[in-house]
Amino acid sequence: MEDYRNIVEDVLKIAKSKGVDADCILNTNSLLSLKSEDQELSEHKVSSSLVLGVRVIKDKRVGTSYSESWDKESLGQMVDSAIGFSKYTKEEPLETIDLKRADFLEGTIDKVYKEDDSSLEEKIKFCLSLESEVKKKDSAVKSTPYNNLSRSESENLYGNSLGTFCGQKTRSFSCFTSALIEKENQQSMHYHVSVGRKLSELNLSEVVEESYLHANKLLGAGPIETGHYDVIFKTDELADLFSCFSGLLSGHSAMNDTNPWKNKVGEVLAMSEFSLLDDPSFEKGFSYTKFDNEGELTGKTTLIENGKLETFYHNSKTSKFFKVPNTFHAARSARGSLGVSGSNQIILPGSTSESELKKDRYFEVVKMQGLFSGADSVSGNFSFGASGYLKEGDNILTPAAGITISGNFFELLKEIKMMGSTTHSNNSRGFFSPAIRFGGLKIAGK
Amino acid sequence: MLLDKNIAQLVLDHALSRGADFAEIFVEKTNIQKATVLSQKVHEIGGGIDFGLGIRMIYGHRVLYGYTNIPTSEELLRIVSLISEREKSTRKHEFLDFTLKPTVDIHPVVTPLGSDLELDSKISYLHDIDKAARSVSEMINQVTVSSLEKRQEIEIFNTEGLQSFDTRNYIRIVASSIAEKNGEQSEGYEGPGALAGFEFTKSVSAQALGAKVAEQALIKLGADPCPAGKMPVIIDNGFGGVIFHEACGHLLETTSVQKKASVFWDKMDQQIASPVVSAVDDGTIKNEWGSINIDDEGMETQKTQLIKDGMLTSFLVDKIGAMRTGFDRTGSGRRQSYRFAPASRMRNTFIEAGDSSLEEMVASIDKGIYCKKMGGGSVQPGTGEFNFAAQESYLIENGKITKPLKSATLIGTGPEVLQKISMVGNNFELAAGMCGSVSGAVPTTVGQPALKIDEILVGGQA
Repeated sequence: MEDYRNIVEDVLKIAKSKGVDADCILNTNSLLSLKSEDQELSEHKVSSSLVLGVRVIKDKRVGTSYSESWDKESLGQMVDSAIGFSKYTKEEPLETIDLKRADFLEGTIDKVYKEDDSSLEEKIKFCLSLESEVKKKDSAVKSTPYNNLSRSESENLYGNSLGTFCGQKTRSFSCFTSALIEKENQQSMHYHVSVGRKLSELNLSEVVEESYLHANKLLGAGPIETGHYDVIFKTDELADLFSCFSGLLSGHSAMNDTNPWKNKVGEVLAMSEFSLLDDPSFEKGFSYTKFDNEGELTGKTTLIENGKLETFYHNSKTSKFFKVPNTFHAARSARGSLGVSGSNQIILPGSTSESELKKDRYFEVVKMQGLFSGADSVSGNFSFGASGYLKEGDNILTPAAGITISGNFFELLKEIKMMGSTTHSNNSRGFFSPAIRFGGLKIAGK
Repeated sequence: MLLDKNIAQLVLDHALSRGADFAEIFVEKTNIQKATVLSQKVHEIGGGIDFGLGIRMIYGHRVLYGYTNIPTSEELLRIVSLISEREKSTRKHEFLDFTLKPTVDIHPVVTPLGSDLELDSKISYLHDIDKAARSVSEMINQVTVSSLEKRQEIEIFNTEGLQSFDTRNYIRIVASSIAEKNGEQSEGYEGPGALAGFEFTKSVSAQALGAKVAEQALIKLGADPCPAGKMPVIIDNGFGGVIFHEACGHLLETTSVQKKASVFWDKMDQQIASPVVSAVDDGTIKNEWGSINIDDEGMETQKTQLIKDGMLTSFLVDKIGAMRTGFDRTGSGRRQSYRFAPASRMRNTFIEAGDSSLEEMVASIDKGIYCKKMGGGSVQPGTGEFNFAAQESYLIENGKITKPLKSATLIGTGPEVLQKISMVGNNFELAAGMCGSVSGAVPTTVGQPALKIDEILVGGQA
């Protein structure tokens, strides 16, 4: 980390010599990626990359630039470009660099940077089993066209011209596999993902079982009758649905007049039992971060409490604009400008047992397609391709595919019928929620 | 040149000494500049330089890949050793001297990024679009307009002796507007682009583009919910071609075909579409957004007839796809950047014009949907299940377009829809988009004339 710190310090020195306030972000990433096909390694990819991004403020105007080269000449050109760009932007009196901290803030903790104690051979063996274990399940498994094991190591450094410095290293593993099943000219495919901080934390049996289970159950499934159904999304699908409308919680988009909830803070927008938190230090969460991209220490934020919108994600600029406390969710990639983003999102559990929640007929969504193209974040309307099961309790009445599920996100939050009392996590462990039963969504089928 | 030829030779010879059948270095330097006007002011201007090298080694049909930002021989030799760490074989091939293959530039550019054109004139153009959109109605309460310019220089060396160089200049203008009435909001969006410099904007009237995104947003305010269920649908020209891109194009890439993860993998020379359908993927169209001079494996681009009168005539084939399937390469090896190994990808992909008029199609439908403007979509390659969003659509009743509808989704499977196209229009048009797949996001153009599909599942709220 020391060498990289010198690069960031060089950038800040150049900026200082040119009379501008600046902050600099440095991201490095090393990746190992393996894929299997026909029981051989079909891809073995390794990489290392570094990117630097500078933000300068001159005469209240902001300019950004980035570079993937870090020789002195490139660093100078990057700062010059940012200063040059700043001349054309409007004045931004609220965007300032004013965090001053004397000591280096070390964000790396054991939880996010565990030692990699697995050999390359062990990783390859694991990757090959992503394919072989699925094929062992059933002779009808035609192939596992998509499978992968990857290890990613990254290091993020932030520094500003007032001397604030912080850094964090993370290491993560992820794997996925798929089952493509074919019987009597009918095909079905499903895939499943697992993440961990070590190879041994990946759940091989779960990705194999889940991929096969749903591909098999949905084989030959067709549309159900068009109509309105109560719907329960699997946690991954619920996370995807919320991610399509994540801009609703952005103070940045509210400030820019592109957030339909811009004037709704303090209003009840969801069923009274619905509460949503963001917690970067959440014990079970995978999206840990000690500091945001303005160098501020992060913390837990209540976004929606008992259905009422309490606040947006804010950085120093948006909090000044709305004259509210900063929530320390500043986000800026090396290549981008200042915005906001969340970390671990947690929907608090409700009061209904899962058995009560799943009483009577409902539709369980296990897969959605066309997520972002099918969602209009301004009007709240959405319409996705979907597949899943018409169920009663835990009993599958009929599997269904080739259907669409449509509604309006704003109305959906108000039409929550029941909130389950047990918290589940999505596969990437950044979204936590109980099962939620939504009333009367439109399903188009036959 | 981006990489010293002697370093390239040293690295590729090292790759062959490790027993590789083939090795390649892809070098890329890309300058990017982006400007955004929001709330009638310059909101953001930024840019930078991407630089890196990707090394691909092929053993039989297996691909090893690595990349780095450091162009030294030591780093590149390290990457080769690292990715081939497990390989036990020894040298099978001798290194061939490089032969520089000159690239014929069939997409000339007048004002590329880095030319003398001042930022002021670019920003002025963005402001003109903003003004045009706002002037349409007081209900337009926000407009965002961005320009993205990119100058990508690439250099390719491989162990077959190829040394090739090309420069690609891209420009895209993205405009969106939000209309609001009685608390209801809706959005309009357009994103024209070209393989060209800023001179492209002379062909995109700021007035017309601004008015178009405003009208799209306004038309949806107060629109009725879209009906749900199976019904006949007309998908209009231009971005309507996303149906073919998603429902068929991806299934014709050898990336899917070689794994038999495409329903078309064994259908060559067979009828896979209605006889009224002929389709092409063409990288040669002058200055078109999805065009190229050479692909990212150094092969000259070409025009590839995919379907002729409903018969499957070609796949889109990259180097590894050719090795695995036996079909000839089609200059379709593409990647987002040096961070990705190339894969077979689409360029400008479209259904060719027919002879029906839009009016004839509408008149032939008692109850159905007219999708004037399509949004994005996706496909599951293994099964061909696709979905895409209708951004601007209207109800057809008794042979006439009667009223606008809120957003809807069309879903189906590729092979099924291709068989259900019954009329092909004469109003052919292309539209720019970005396509994401295994080798990242690449510029692609979709296109078609208006198509009538006899039956497709529409997901609406009514």
